[in-house]
Amino acid sequence: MYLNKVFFRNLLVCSVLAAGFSACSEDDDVTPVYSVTFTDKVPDGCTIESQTINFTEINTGAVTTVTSTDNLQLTAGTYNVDATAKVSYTDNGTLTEKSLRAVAQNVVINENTHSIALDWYFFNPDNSLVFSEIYVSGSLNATGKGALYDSFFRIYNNTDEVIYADGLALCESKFTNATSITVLTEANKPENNFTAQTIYVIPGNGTDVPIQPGQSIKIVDQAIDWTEQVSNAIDHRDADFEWYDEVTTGGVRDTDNPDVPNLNKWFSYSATIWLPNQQCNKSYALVRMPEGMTAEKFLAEYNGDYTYLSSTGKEMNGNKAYIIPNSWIIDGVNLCVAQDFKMASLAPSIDKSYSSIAVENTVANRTGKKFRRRQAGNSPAGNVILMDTDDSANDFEVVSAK
Amino acid sequence: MKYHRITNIVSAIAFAGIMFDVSASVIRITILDKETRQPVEMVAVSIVDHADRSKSHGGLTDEKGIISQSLPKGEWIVNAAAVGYKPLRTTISVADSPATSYTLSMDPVDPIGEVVVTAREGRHATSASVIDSTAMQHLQPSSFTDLLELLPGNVSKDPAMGAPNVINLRTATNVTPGNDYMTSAIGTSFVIDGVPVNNNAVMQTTPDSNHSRHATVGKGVDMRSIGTDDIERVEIVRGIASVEYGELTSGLVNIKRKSGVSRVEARFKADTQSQLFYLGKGFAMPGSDWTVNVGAGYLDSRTDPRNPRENYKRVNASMRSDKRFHNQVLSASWNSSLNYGASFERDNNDPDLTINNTVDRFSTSNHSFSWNNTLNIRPTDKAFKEASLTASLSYNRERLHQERHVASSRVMPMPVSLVPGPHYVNYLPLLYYAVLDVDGDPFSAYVKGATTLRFDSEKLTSTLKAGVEWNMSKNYGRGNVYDLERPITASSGMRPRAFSDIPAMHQLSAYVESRNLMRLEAHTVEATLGVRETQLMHLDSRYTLAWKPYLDPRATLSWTLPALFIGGYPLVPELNGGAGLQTKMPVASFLYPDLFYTDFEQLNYYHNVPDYRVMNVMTYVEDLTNYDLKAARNFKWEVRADLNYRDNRLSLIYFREEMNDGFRHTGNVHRYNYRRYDASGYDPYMENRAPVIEELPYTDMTYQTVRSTVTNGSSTLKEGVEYTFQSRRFPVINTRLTINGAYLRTTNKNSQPLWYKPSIIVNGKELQYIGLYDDNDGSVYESLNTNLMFDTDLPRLGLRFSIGIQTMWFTARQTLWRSGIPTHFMDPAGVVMPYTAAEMKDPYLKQLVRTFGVSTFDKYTIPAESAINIKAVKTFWHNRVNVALYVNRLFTIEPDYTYNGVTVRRYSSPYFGMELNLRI
Repeated sequence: MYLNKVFFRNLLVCSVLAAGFSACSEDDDVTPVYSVTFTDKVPDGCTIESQTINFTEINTGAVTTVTSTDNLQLTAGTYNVDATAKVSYTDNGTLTEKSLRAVAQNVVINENTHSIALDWYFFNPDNSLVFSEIYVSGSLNATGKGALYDSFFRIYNNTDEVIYADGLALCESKFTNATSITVLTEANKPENNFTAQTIYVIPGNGTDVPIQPGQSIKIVDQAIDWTEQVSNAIDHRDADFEWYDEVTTGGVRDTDNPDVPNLNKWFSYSATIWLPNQQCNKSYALVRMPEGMTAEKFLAEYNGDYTYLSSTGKEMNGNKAYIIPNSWIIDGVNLCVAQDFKMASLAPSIDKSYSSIAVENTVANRTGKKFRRRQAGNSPAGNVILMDTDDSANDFEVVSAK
Repeated sequence: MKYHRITNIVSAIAFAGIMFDVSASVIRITILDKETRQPVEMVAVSIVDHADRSKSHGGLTDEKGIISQSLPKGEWIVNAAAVGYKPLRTTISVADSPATSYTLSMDPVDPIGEVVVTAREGRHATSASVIDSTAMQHLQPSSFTDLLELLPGNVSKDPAMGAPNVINLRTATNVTPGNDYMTSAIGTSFVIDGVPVNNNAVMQTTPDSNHSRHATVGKGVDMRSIGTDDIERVEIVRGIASVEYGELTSGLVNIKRKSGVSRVEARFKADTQSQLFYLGKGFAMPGSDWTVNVGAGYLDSRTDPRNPRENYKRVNASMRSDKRFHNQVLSASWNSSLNYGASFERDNNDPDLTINNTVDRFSTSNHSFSWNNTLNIRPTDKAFKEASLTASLSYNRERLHQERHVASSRVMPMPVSLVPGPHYVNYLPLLYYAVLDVDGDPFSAYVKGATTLRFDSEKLTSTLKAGVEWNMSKNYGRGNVYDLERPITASSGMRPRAFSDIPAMHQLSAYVESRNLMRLEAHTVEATLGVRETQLMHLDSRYTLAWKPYLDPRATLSWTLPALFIGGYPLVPELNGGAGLQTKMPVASFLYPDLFYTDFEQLNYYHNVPDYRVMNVMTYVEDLTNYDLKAARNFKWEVRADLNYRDNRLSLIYFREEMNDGFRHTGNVHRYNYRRYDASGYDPYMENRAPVIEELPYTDMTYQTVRSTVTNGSSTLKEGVEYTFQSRRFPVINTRLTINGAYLRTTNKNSQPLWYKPSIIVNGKELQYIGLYDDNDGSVYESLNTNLMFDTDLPRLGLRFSIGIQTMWFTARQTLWRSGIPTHFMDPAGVVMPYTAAEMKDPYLKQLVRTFGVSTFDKYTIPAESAINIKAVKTFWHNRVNVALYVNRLFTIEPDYTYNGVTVRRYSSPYFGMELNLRI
């Protein structure tokens, strides 16, 4: 399902300015209506089949919904535009359907300007909750030789409705995107299922963890104040959740902050703690488990042991893994250091590309940096809409974690 | 001094077992090399009465070229024979005088033929490699490690000075023995001038895994610390060692250092990693028969020449006195040596690679002092040939110093509780500075008394050796010294421990060995039968080993067949064989492991408000001593065929060694009970204080884990074929061809079932089931190599050079088959049950099945690679100045190979060095 080219290349030249004005009324009491022209920037090779465009006049709150842009007339005003569309395109001879979305803010329609540019991007209508920030590299520790465990994930409500995060699973891929292996077991191939090595689930009975529109929750490794060691690290005492691995002895421990609730641990490959891949070479997925799924049922039915050819060509066995059907995934991101990228753990339908922390993998290059989803615009309700094109190279930027 | 092979010549000498009643006189014959004026050892001397040819005496010259004999007055014919020399026959008159000395000189047959720049296969019944100073000079070693290249099966290796160098005799080249297969190295005894190196009490190690490779505990002799410049000759016994030597499983390294008058010898060597300086001289002391040799060497080596922060330095110095006495009834020698050795290792981090320029330091220093004495008495008595007493004291001052910035990525309890039970402890800071000192002061003492008796009859020469040996070792060091609140790693089972608390180890051994040389017409058979008894004393009675005697029977047989004459020259076939048990007692660190401390968090209330935080741990203190630990025993046997023809020699050896009780850290299931206090209902704001455990509900927790103790759980099987061919030096081109190599097959595996706890979390909890696996956790390694060496000696040009072509035909490794299915399992309640098909369906228990890919057990073979090494020595100014250089892997042939469809490319770079030798 790869698209042939990077998207948005096909810049449609603006249509000529509207030739004729509507009759200008001198009567101020009557709000003038203008014919609106559209400039659509559509991904390569796509044809819009159907679309729904909501125009929200921000002063009056009036909403106009149209399904066609032909001969569209709007009253003068300032609009937020939120458009969705279905497109089809041919990918390797197969006709494929996808959704597009376009948003535009503060579009002024008056006698001088009555054209709207719509920058369409691929969009998964189910991606209601998305990763807005991923910080796995950790902050450089005080000796400058390693990283702290101040990693976190931020999950954002990318809609205008309250969404409940209860039961949502945070998963890390088994495969490392910087390692070239050939998975032999059919079920573990990324196009079929996601092979996960950790599954931590947000607790709740369905309505316990609401995320308001435009709001987010922060899930951290250890909810402690890391600035006690390094001032540049992050204070996680305000986290919404932490994943806690009960390890009561040995050199590797976890700390349970009594003020921060814990995720439910369904599975981890690690006998001790789950430390997200600090090299930033794994994939992460947010998974909505199907109705009625329990940890016991899942563990009994979705074992993901597999065989693979290692990079030296040796056939090896992989275990301590579970498989997750791609259809359960509501958001997923491949991460990999650019120089080292070998394979993607997530199917292209979930993430077409990968986001990289740096070109070269060094401690200095990656520590203290997080992945942050770019902003696409604002929703009609005024919430920030984050870019979600299922193309992490496009959606994410790398910024300082602090 | 030259060492000569005589076994097949001894048969030429006739002996008669008749004693004379007439007044006798002691004669002393010293045999010298006519050209070098050096004494010649192992010359077979027979002394026959001129009048009555049936009356004869005889024996071999010692390392001073001397043979003493009490003879009645009269005319005697002296026959002397040694390989490499023209036979000597002369007549002496014994007068009434109490003692007479004679000096005889032997003509070398072919002086250039005697230069041997490789290891020679020893001439005794057991297989041994003999390396003399000429070979060492040609090899240009930095440490003893480099000499091993000359053993069959080995190829040249670059020095690796960043970690202790351990010896692995008869082991396939691609084996890198982990700590579980170190017995082969521990069980190779290094004997220097008759005194074994004792490092049983060495305890130096650090819990910091970044530096644990520098640890010397439980690894045997570190060959980096042995310089080669004072060494005259090394005999590495790969086969069955004489029962005179104990505390070994694999082999014996018998080092004889230089003694006798010599010029000032100076050596300056530089190679890619190191510089070496040496200065030595042998002095003639006032009076007669007294020499003192002094030598001092210095090596400075860097693991990576670009990295000044990691290095290894060695200092060696010794003073060795050799005093001889002779009178009518006996000749005696007293050897005494004072030895000092030091090694310094440093491995600091690179502050430029840490962002904050933090410097963490690690260093070790080891000063060793020893005083060795050997008194050797040789009465001029017929039967009582020799008695000797050896005594040695040695003391090592071993220091490990480490400074480290510990930046935790987790909140850890302070590991301060020293007694079992629940404790409130503080939190370790997230960042602190830790200092660790490990002070070891091992001391050892050694006394050995030995006698040699000899009985001669017409057809049989019997030598009976017997001796008693006692050694003790004790570490007087302070052990791990550090601030309890600032441990070097945030969590380890370590607490301070003084090594001086460990009792001394005393070992008593005795041996008796009978060597019989029989001459049956043209056949000569030498049979050696010996037994060595050894035990550890002064052990607590709980130890199985306490006073437990071990008997090591060892036997070798050497059969020289009648010579066949081909083209007028004799072809002498020889068959040798032997079998024996060799035993190594465990070292102190195996018998007396540190107490193991475990802290279980019962309550870790790490509240956002620091005042409300509290940590309570349940501390377990465990003694991991394995009182059932036994000695490691290696049974080996071998057969060897030798062919000698015109100074060409071919040796072919098949050997097999089996040790099923090598030392290993084996896991045993331990159960721990503690409480998990639940503070979720506690409101610290209301109480305005931290919770206390008494007011909290709790659940009883059981934790099962596998803790390691030292057991006899490792099995090592070595077998193979070793071959050596040494040609005579071809005239005109003055070149000798030496071919050696070996096919070696090493199987390392565990010999007892293993408990294994998969590290897996199911449903939020670590899986508390533990499986017992019968499978062998091991691998088979193989290697086959051939080393060809052409060495050319051009004395007129003062030039000696060699071209070595070292080919490793293949190396292979194969993991032993494992089913991965446990035979039994232990449930969280500690009940052991058999593991059946029903368990395999259980979502928890099925995690115990270890799965392996189908090709996991495939053989991984690396095909042939060859390297060409050159070495050259040029002498100037009457052998006073030598310049030498070597280049290893000047050319290599390392073809790419394909494994499972993947092409593997091989690279290597040359390694080279130069040196200057002065004899002033």
